[in-house]
Amino acid sequence: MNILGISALYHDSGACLVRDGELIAAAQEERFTRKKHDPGVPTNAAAYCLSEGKVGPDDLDLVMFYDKPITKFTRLVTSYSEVAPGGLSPFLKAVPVWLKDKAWIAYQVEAALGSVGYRPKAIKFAEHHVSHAASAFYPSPFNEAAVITVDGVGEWTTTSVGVGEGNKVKLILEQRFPHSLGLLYSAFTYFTGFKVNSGEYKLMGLAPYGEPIYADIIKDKLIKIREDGSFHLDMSYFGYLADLRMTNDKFGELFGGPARKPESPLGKREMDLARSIQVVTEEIMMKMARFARAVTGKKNLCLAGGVALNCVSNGKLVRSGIFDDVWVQPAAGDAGGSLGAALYAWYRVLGNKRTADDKHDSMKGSFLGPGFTRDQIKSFLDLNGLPYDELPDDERNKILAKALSEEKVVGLLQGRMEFGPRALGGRSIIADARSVKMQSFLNLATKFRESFRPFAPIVLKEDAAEYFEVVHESPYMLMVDKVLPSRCKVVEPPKGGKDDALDLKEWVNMARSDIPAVTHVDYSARIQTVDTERNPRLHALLKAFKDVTGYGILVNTSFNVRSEPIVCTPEDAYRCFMRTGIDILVLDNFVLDKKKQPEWKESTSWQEQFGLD
Amino acid sequence: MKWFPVVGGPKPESGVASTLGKLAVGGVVGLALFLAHKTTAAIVVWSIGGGVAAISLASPAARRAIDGALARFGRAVGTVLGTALLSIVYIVVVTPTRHVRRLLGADDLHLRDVDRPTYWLPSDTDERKAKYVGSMFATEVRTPGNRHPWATALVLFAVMFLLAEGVARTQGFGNAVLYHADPVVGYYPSPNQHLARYGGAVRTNRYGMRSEEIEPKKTPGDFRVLMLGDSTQYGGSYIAQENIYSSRVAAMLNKLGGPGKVEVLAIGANGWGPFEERGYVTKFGAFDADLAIINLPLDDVNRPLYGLMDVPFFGDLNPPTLALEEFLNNLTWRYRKAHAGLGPAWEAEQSPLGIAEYGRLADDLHRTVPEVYGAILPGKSSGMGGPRTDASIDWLEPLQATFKAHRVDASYPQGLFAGKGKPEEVYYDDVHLNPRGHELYAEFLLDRLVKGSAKLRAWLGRSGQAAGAPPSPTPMEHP
Repeated sequence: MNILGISALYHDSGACLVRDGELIAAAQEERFTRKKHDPGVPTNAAAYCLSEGKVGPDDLDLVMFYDKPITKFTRLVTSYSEVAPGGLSPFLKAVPVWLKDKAWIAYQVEAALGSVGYRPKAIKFAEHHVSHAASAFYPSPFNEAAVITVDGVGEWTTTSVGVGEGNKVKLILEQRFPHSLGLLYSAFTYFTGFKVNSGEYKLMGLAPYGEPIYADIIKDKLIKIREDGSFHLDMSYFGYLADLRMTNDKFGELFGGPARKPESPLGKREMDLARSIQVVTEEIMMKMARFARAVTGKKNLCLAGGVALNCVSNGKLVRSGIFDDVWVQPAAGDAGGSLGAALYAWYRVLGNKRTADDKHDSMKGSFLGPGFTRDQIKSFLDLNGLPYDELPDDERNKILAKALSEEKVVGLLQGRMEFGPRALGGRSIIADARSVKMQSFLNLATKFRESFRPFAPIVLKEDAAEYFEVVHESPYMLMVDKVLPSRCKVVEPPKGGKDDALDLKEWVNMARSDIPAVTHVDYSARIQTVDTERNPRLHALLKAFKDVTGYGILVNTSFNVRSEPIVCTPEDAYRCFMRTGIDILVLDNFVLDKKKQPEWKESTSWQEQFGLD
Repeated sequence: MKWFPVVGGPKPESGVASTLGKLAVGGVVGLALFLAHKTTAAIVVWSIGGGVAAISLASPAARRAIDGALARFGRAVGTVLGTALLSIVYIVVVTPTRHVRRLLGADDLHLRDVDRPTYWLPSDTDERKAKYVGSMFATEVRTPGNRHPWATALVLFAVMFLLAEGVARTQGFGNAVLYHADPVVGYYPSPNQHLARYGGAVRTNRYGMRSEEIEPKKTPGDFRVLMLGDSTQYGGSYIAQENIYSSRVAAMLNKLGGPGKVEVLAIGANGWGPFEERGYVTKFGAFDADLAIINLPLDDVNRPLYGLMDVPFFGDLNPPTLALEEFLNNLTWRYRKAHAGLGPAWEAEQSPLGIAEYGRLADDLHRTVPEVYGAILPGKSSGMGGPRTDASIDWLEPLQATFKAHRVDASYPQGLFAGKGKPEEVYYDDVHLNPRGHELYAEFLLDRLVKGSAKLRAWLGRSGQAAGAPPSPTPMEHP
């Protein structure tokens, strides 16, 4: 039975094909349209998934949409009816979109699938947080587990605690809009000058630069937190009920002035705010986890929802030992809702049996996106007259290891594309983690992004404990742990202290361990452990690098530039390769040296193509 | 290079559908104008529609440009209208709903129950969520807050009802002018009403006339004018009593001087035609009038003998309690009228009957009234000096011939209002007058009477044109 999951119309739309309970394919629409966080109906992603699964035009048994659109609309109207006559402006903006598009999602999906030749037999709808919970539990290794979902908002629910058992996943308790941890975090994202639904991970990356001096104010004024992890926001400080802004002037008064303008210099206030909200988030997540453990009695935890991408919080949760094991859906955001909705239909609605061994998840390493054959890549290269070397894996890895050890930057496209926001070695830029200059070089000359942003390491799973205080594998780069103290050296912030004139670039570039490119200013790192089971080719490459340098660790960052969706095709990869400071491009077994490539010419300004994120 | 299955974009169009669309829109708009007797405008619209359609069919590039421009225009219009409509909904529906719900203690967003020991709420059951997976609505757990949705809905309905009643009353509904059903007349304004609607006073005397109180017989030495007419004479509730032309003529005649008082008796009602007017004279007589004027716009010739049940008015035995009653009655009447099936064939048969009835009315009046005049009020276009597009214009000549045959001096002052104001200042709609129109028409009637009525001149003691009378309006058409 073929079930297509769809998430769309808010941000990060995606599609996922499940056949008889097995994940066949999943992808985000942005990768195809090249529009970051594309919210549109994922026609391209759906077409890819169905094509990957070789589904016939009349063989699509069910389409599952990941939320209940009409309830979302009623929530919208109810919210406005709480603040009217205020809120007219967002009302006028939101309602036409609803009446024109969102209320007709079933027809839109049917038309989109029809445009690529598919005639679905039925379209159904799972609730937003049920989709998240299903995406967290069904692919997890566990037979039974507590489930926590936390995001901005679904229909009404913003946070839920539930339980998964066998083929059932059910929500037990929930918190409802406007009381939302996701929206609270987004409010600070907005206030510190980053883009909502996009810049949250930047705020998380900024947090280690600051001190949590505002944490008490946040807890005193903005949010009341109960011991069971439930919370209540004082909406008089927020704008998202009655305005087009996340925060209002009262919020600004609390934190010493108006919101930071996007792209203006980051000051100490923004850093302290980032750290403060991070601390509060972690406190809530920890309390919620203890409560979930007590309510469900389960020893394992599954997490999903946008807040589950907060890997700093995830790492602390794992280290807390509240649960024996924690599994986080790698596509924890809305795109992953498509996957959850499809699995929910297969297991819960249709009642099919589910098996789990408490060890292995069924995410296939999250490599659920498009892959390309040797012939396809070769045709592309030959057609465009691009010089390359075709090498077997062993030889390729040796050459790459040497180049990486010489501080060369490598763009890596191999196998199928990742599903979810993280590049896990299928579409990655990799570099030497030992290089002192690498973080700054990658940020400013390769990815053209803010200088403060950290990079993550990929490390051989078996070597992870040599570098980090790991207590848990992290195959999906969703846990943050500390670098071993033995590898660290104490570095004080640059002269002048953490004041408004702080030079982040200088601070970042200070070597604070023997793997400085992946050691954040607080000596933390967002780790991806690489094993032979999920990612044998990347594992082999790391081994080759270790053979050359003695280090089984590299920098891994997504293969894109700022604001660009991660590359999908060899063509995308080549374009990004030629636009940036990447030295070597690897397209599976084809290795391209930048120096040998023909001169790159573009008619448009690509920096302006993607805008700001 | 194609890496993935081709995702279908919009299908290429032959242009036929787009062209037909343009022709249809142009055709319908033109037809609407044509039916509204805007023949020139209709021809212009048809020409533009046809031209645009032809260009659209001939050139794909031009079609894209035209379609793009039309889409932009449509979006702009839609945005403006949508914004206006939604703003009204927000202010008229959402805002009051908020206040009512607050009064009822509703707190859907849990903004005010900050002291709860826990902020967790129960989720609905797993079984219900799975059962209703086909629905676009999320299932909701039953809580004290939503256990009585019907009660909330009922209260909301009541509040909305009261609000609508209030709004309708501000628009003048609810204090309706009442009518008296009468087997001979059909109906006429109920006697002795004193009310105000749309800011204008409406008073009727004991005979239902929109005039001052009178006695059946005039006082010796006084001069009495009887005006018979329809809604154009009645003036509508939006014209204050002192501004309708009958009141103005009375005031002006009294200023001319004479041995006594001039009384103008204005009897007329919305929807009246010759049958009701004659019925009124049959029932009440001519009130000892010295002269009578039959006032009408041309389409009065095709009005049958209406009863009160055929018009959207309330009888004096059962007046409306609510403003909304009147509003809904009006709406349903419009609907019934639109579906009554009164077409050209009916009009062709009815109008000669109406014209003949005017002749009989004149004969009846001549029995007791020395002089009888006719005053045919031109429609907006012809009144403002434009083409004669009055409804029932084809019946003008037969009507004038009938009046002449029955010794009625009838006028049709085409162009009377030309150069004396903007059309919207003079006319309320295509046939009814605004206060300015009443003022001008009163001057015209005064001039006619002073010049044309030997009896009036004799009463005034003058042989020629009365001193102080306004100049003669031009051009005039007399039979």
